[in-house]
Amino acid sequence: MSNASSAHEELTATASGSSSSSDSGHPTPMKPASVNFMESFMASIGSERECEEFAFQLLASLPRSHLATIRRRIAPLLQFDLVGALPIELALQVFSHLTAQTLWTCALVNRRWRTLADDPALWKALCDERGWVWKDSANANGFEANRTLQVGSEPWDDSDDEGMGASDEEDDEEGEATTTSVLSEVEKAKIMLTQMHAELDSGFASMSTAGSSSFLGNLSFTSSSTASGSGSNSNNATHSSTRPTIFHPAGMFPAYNPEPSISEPNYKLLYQTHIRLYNRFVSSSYRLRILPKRERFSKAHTNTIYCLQLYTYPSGKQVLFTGSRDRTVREWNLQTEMVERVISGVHESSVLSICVHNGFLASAGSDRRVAVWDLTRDRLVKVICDHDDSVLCARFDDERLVSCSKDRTVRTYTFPDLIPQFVLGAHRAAVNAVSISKSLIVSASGDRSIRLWDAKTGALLRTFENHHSRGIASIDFKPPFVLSGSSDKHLRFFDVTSSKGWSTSPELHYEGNTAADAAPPLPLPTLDSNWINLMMCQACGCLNSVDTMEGGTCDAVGLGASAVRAGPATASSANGCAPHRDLVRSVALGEHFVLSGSYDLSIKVWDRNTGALVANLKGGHTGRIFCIGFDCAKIVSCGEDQVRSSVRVPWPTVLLINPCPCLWVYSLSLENLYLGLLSRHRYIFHSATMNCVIGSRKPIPRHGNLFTSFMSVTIYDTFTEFFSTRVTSPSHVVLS
Amino acid sequence: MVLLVTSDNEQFTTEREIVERSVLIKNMLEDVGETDQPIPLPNVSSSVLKKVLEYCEHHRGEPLPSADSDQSQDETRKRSTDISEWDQKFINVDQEMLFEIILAANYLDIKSLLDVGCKTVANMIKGKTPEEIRKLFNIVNDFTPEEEAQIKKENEWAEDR
Repeated sequence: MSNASSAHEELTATASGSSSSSDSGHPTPMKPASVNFMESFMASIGSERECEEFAFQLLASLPRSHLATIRRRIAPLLQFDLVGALPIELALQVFSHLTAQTLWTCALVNRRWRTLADDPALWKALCDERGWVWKDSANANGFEANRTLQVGSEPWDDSDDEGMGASDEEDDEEGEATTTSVLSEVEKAKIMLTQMHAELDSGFASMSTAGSSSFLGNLSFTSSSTASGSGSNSNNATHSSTRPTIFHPAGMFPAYNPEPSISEPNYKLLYQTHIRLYNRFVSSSYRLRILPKRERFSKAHTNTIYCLQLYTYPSGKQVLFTGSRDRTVREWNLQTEMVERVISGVHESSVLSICVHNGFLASAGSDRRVAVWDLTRDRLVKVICDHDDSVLCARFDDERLVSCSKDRTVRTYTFPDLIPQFVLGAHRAAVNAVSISKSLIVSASGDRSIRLWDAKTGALLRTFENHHSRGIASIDFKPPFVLSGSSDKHLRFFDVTSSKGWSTSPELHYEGNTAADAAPPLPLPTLDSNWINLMMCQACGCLNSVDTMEGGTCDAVGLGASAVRAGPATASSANGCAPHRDLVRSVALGEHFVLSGSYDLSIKVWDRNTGALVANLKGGHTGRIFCIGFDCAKIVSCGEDQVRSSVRVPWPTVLLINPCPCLWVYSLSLENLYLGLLSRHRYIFHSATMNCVIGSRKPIPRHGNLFTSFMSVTIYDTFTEFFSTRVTSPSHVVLS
Repeated sequence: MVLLVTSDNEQFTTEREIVERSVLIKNMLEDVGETDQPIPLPNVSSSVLKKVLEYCEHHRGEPLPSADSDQSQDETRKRSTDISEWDQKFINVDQEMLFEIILAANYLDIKSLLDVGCKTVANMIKGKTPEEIRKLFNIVNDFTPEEEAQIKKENEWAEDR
């Protein structure tokens, strides 16, 4: 106690400051062993107060130099576990100011600290900050009976698939002006970004099972693994189970109860998994999967797949919708990798664009039609045929449907009534893509401009020109950010309010245009977007944030692989100078990353803030990529791959002769983690499976040989595995 | 003027405006009305109360955070541990005093002071290794090597961020 207390000699003060603090859990400082006799001595003196006074007098009699020594000696005695001594609620309040990283460190201090640092309330707050929501897994993977509809009417021949779609494609090649647009990933992004995290998370949930089943499938195919025996049951087990797969660190699995009751939210695990996924994106650990599997071609598309979108039902089940030149839309169950629904007979030619939202599906085709389908009742709602030429893109939300066409117009309709509202006609060339968000519409056209419209009044708010040197093929919009891809081979990401952003093109036009400057303020929430100062790398012409550059050039070369681990800001300067080599046909805007799919056969992942290249996915497609989509766990893409016949392929020849559309799936593989495989209501863990997964960024061996290439949809599955961090109570990691 | 009596029976006389930064005392005074009776604070020692009153005096007149605004404030500066310069100087005390200030602020219900205290502790923890934290707080590592390895394993993959 301080000197102040020594001024008061009242012996009645039994509840002195020091004793009250020890009541509240204040530990007495550790005493040297030699002090034992002192204790009895002090006890003989009387109260602590008297001891204190006695000690002070004693000390006061010493020379100053001794006092200084004593002060140094007793200093450690004044250090104590301040946090552990506080009542729990106060300790947690201290920890609430810490980041996840620091909490992980705190968990290593001692047991008391670990209990505190693992407190669910802290992790819930951290998840809440990022909008990561825990959903119960009970029905996340609920299976409905297979609903394959109108399969009978599904024609297998694509010989009559002559004109429209193909002509669109030809136009594409000729130039920017008429690039067809099948950006279902715009819708994808809309789902992801506006309805955000629930969607993302449920994606997680369903993919967890999908991953396990597909993985098992791989095992049994390759049969090189010791685990293949149990793998053969995987799909059945997946069908009959409603549980996601659990992944445990090594040695933890035996404790797992295969019939868990309702899972307790484990926010720490939720947080860890998200971070893990993010890191996988950054480090480009992907695993490739191909859809459909060989035995399931019977329901697969029979021609080029133009568009796709991931969709999660309210039940949490995630599916993939694809639209094809074969005039159909198909719904894939990502768990079984089977086609569960075929929507046919609606379009007379290629399905160029689809959009799925809230139980409805809109499809747009080169037959000038936009069709709206009720997925719940499984019936056609309406077919709109207002455009004068191919409808290149259609998007809708709860309020309106927007379609754009080669006829240079954008049309809007109310939703779900589908009453025509506006015809937006300022573009001078085909409108290749639209994206919507609340009351705003963004359209991208072959006339090299991006236009921003007020959906409520039909007014043209802004025109962005000079952003690309050729026509714009693809666009995604999450206010206030627009991401566009062009046939000038570049991407551009910018804030519509300030026109600031980044581009993969060295020729920057940050001035924006005068029209934008003069325009009235946009009805957008003003965010102080903390723009990193961007500058161009003089060596490679690549745009980089200032703090990743030194001396005006990318430090890319020297950084090498280590830069990838350095976090979002610097991550990708390592390979940041690699724009696409062909038209950017598809773009998608996510929370941390933006993706682009190009005719150069590659999919690139970019850091959203800096525009630095994070991952460059090649080798999946052998033909032009038409559409990409992604969520936090995977990337899906479809392209124009052609089947090459292979002597070794034991399939019906029809599949070899005809283009066989299929999906490729890339997923991130986790090193040092064991996969939990779902089989007969039991989770079986195979350490042997690791060998198959780790580092397999290439197509899975045998698959790769068999399906050398196809018209395909590719899924880059960043993560299907889930893992538990606790031995005693492994929880469902259902990030949904 | 208000008369406060500490656990060690020291009497403090302060202005009502200053002492009412403590929601506890504010409510007490509102219940009791104008009184010459001393208010006993059996959980606060004189040395700590001196510090607390110093804080209250410096921040006198500042609006008290309401329950709601508190919440939103919490949201916005969630992971921020920024402390104003005066507060930083004020809270630059030994661990025992810091500990007691936090307890007293909690007991007296002085939200902003509690916040400063908690943030200060958080700042002490930040950027340190587990071993450095143990040293700082004189903590004994009571994990078995196996346990420690296990926890490290759980956390290792998260280390990129």
